[in-house]
This record gives sequence, C-alpha cells and structure tokens, in this order.
Amino acid sequence: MSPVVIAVVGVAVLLVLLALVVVSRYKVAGPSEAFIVTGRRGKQATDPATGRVFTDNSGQKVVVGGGVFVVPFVQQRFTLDLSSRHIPVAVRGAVTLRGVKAHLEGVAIVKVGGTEDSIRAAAQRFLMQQDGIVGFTQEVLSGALRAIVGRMSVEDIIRDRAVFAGQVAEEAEASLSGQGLVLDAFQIQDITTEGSYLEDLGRPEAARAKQEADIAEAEARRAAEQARLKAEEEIAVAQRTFALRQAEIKAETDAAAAQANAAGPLAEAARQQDILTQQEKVAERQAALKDRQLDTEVRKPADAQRYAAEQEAEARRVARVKQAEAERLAGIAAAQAEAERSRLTGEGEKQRRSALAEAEAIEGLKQGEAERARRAAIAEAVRLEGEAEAAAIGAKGTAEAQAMRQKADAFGQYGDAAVLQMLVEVLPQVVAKASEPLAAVDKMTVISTDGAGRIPRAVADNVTQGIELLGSTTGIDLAELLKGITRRDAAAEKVEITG
Amino acid sequence: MAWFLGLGITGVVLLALALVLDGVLDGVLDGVLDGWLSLPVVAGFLAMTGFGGALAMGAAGVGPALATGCGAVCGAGTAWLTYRLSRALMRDQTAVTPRGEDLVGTSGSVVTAIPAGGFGEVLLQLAGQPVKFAARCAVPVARGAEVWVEAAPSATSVVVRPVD
Repeated sequence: MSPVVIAVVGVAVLLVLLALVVVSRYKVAGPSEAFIVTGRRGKQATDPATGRVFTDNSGQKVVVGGGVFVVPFVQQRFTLDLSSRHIPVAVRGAVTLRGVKAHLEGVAIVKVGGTEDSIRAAAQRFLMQQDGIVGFTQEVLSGALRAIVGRMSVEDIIRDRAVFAGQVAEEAEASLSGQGLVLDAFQIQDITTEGSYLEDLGRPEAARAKQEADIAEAEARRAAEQARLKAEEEIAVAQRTFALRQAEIKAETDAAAAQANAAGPLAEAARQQDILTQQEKVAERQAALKDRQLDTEVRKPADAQRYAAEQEAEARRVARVKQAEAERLAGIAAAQAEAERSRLTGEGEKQRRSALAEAEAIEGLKQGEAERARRAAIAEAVRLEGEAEAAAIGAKGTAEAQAMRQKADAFGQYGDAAVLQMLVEVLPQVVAKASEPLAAVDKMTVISTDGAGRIPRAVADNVTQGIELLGSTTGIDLAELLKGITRRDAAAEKVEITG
Repeated sequence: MAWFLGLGITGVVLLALALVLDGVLDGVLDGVLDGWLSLPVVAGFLAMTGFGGALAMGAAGVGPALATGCGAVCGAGTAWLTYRLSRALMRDQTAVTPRGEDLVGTSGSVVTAIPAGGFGEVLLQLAGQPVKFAARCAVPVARGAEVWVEAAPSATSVVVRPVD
C-alpha cells in the first residue's frame, strides 16, 4: 500500500473525525429537560433604576429545548428534568374549620417551572438530588394541605373547587414558587372523617331517595297488581262467557240429541197411543154393547119387577092406611063411650068422698083439743120446776157473792202481800200449764234464725195468752191487777214522802 | 515519508480517543486563547500537516522541507476551519428560554374564578405553550373571562386585570 493512498485515507478519516469531535461538543436539550451550562463569566450590566453596576447571570446559561456548544473544561453542562412528578399526599386527623377531624388523600402533580428563573432556582436546590424533589414536596404539601383544611369546612372541601384551588394556589405561592417548582394540579382523591360525619351528611338525601324509591316501587307494584287483577277479571269474564256459550251449545246439542233419541220411543209411544185409542174405541163400543145388553137383559126386567113391587107396596100402604083410619075412628068412639062412663062413675065417687072427709075433719078437731090440753099441763109443770131452780141458784149466787165480798174484804185487809202470794202460788201452775205443750214434746228440731232463743219466748207468749184468755173469760185482768197494785204502792210511797 | 504518516496517524488517533473517551482528553488544551488551541484544532493541525506532507512527498515528489511547508499550510487551514466551525456552533443561535417577565402584557383566560383578595387560576400562553398560573386581581373575575397580565410578582403567580 503506497503512502499516498494511506495519506488520502488518513485525510478523509481526519476530516470525518474532526467534524464528529466538533459536533459532539454541541448538545441539544430535549423538550422536557433543561441544560444549565456554567463556567462562563456574566456580562456587566447597569440597573436602570438605581444605576448600580452588577454582573448578570448570563454566564450561567439555561437552555430549554435548544442546542448549546459546551466548551470542555471551561464550561460544564448539567441536565435538569422538567417532567412532571406524581406526588401522593396523605394527611391524617387534619382538623377542619368546624373541628371535624378528617383524613385526606390527594395527589399533586409537580414540575420544575418552565421559565429561566424557575429553572435556575430549582437547579440550585435539586440539581444533584432530583429524586428528592418528590420527598421534599410531599412533606411540604402535607403541611400545606393540613393548613388548607384547617381554613375550610368539610363540605367546602368536597364541593367548592374554586375556593380549594385558591387556597392551594396561595399555599403553593408561599412554599413552592421560591423553589422553582410549579404545582400543576392538586386534587383530593379521598376524604374520610372520624366518626360518621360524612355518612350523616348524606343520610337525609339517602332517606329521601329511599322513600321515593319505595313509593315508586309500591306504586308500580300497585299498578302491576291492578293490571294483573284486571286481566284476570277479564279472563274470568271471558271464561264465564265461554262457559255459558258452551253450556248453551251443549243444551242445544243435548236437546237435539235427546230429541233424536226420543224420536224412536215417541214414535213408538204415538203408535201405542194410536193402538190404545183404537182399543179404547173398541172397549167403548163393547161397553156400549154390554150396556145395551144389560139394559135389555137386566135393567128392563128389574125395572119391571121394581115397578110391580112398588105398585104392590103402594096398594098395601093404602090398604093399611085405610085400616088404621077405621081403627082410629073406632077407638075414638070407644074412648068417648068410656069417658062418659067414667064421668058418671066419678060423680058418684065424689059424693062418697066428701061425706068421708067431713067425718074425718070432725074427728081431727076432737083429737087436737085433747092434745092442747095435755101440752099446757106439761108446760106448767116445767115452769114451776124452773122457778124453783132459779130460786135455788139465786140463793146460791147470793151466798157466793157474799163469800167473795167477804174474801175481798179480807184481801183488802190483808193487803197486797196476800194477793201477791196468791198470785205467786197460782202463777207456777199457769206457767206449768203454759209449758205443758212443750213438755209433751219428745224430740224437737228448731228451724228458725232465732235458734233456741225462740223457745222461752214461746213459753212467755203462752203465759201472756193464758192471762189474756183468763181476762176474756173471767173478766179479771191479771196484768191490770198487778199494775194497779204497783201504782197503789207508788202512790202510797209518794204520800209517805210528801207527808 | 514515515514521519509524515506517523504524525497524521497520531493526530487521527488523538481525535479518535477524544471522541471515544468523550471529554477526557477533550479539555487538555481547551480554553487556551479562547478555543484556538483546543484539542480538535491542534490534532487537526498535526494530522493534516502529516498527511499533507506525505501527499506532497508521495504524489508531487518534493523534498522534505517543502513537504513540511505544504503540510503546515494544509494543517493551518484545517485548524482554522475547525476553529470556525466551533465558533459558529458556540454562537448559540437557538430558541431563547422564556422568562417570567415575558408574561407581562399577554392575555389569557380565567379557569378558576378569582375572588377578591384571593388567588384564582389563569391559563396563559408562554413561549407557545399553555401554562397555568395562580392569579390575583383587584376585582373579582368570573370564570372564563379574558384578562391581561399586569405583572409577574413570582415565578408561578401573576397579577391580572379583566379586559374591558
């Protein structure tokens, strides 16, 4: 291989390598990354407001989505990832505005801001620890979320997105913007409360919905049931109509069948009836014939006989009437004759009887007189006897009265003591007499509510009755007598006291 | 002849090493005289001098002194070209990174209603990309209203006023 060829090839290789080396120093940033090229000196700049001269940070280049030539050793190129980072945020027991404790789970989408100043700020903080962005931000956002929840009520967190977003923006301004981070989105994924606060929030609505559902269900069921019953009713009506029609048809067919069945027997019966009619006619004719035969053979002769007998009886009756008439006339004549004879006989008798009565009367008169005389004599004798007897009685009474008077006088002289003694002597006898009926009792069963106490009362009643009986029969009122005695004693005592 | 080739091959090997071991030998001479003596320039000069000399000797049949002169001229040209390419790339004529101040004067729409004295959210266009910023306003602004950006007090918040 000639040196010339080697040289030519070498030149070509050299040019290619030179181009590669130079171009390889030119770096192009992707759309989601930023290059921070450091090492250059910043330019001198004058602040137009204050006139202060300072070095700007143009030496620290920030390149997003563009190319940059990095001079080796003099400059250094760093890459910062701008893509979003998904950060789960969870807060437990955050106290809300009204004191309800809530547990929240959210998610935040965080990225390094797309502007130059954001990238510079983020590069200072996170360039060498880009994996730490998630950790740092998570902690910061947990605190931020707790603060946000503390400024809002549970209902607002759930319902008012705008307010929540505003609060999040405020928190992000305070905590993230200075680090060059942008909070792209921050959403609550889940919120639960301690106790049943959230469930209780939904309960009225749930109850209302349940009520509506129940009502709708019940109404639907009612409508369905009504429709079903209506359909059943119609079916029943149709069935009834069908059954009636069927029965009608059956009746018709049965009638026709019966008619058809009966046609034979009917015809038979009709024929029989015809036969019977004919037979009847024959029988009638026969009966008529028999009648006529009987007429001629029996009745006519019987009639003739009856007529003959009647005629005969009539003749006999007439004969007997005639005979009786004759006898009656004969009897009358005989009776007249007899009466006449009796009259004549009675006259004689009457005369005889009057004579006899006269005699008897005279005889009776005589007898009466004799009797009267006898009776008078008897009466006289009786009168005399009575008078004697009366005289005797009067004498006796006088004597007794005398004795009584004397006795009474004696009593008056004796005083009450004697009377009382007498009474005392007599009373046991009275009581004994009164209790005699009880003494005669062998066995006694008392049927009374009063019980045995009734018995002495019966005895006392008997005594009282006995005294009254005595009073009514003898006229001596024993009770009065006793009372009189006691009164007299009282009067005497009074006299003694006053005297 | 062998010297010239050796010199060229040495330069090429240096460049190859610089490429393969990206940056190890890269910065050996970097920064000296504002990139004039960077490794690609030096290696390019050496290698081109070698190969140029070899070609001059082999093809034209000139003496070593003349060949060295020719090689040096070629090397200087190559070095100058390399330097120019590097300078052209170092000029940074790419898209500018957006800054917070760029927001002032732009318009956007409110995505979360701005309450009085609180933060809402507006969607702005920043360097051709939509960005959501927290926004304050002197008066409450309803959602969907168009607003002007008056100021950018921080990297993530702006002060707006509704478009009359």
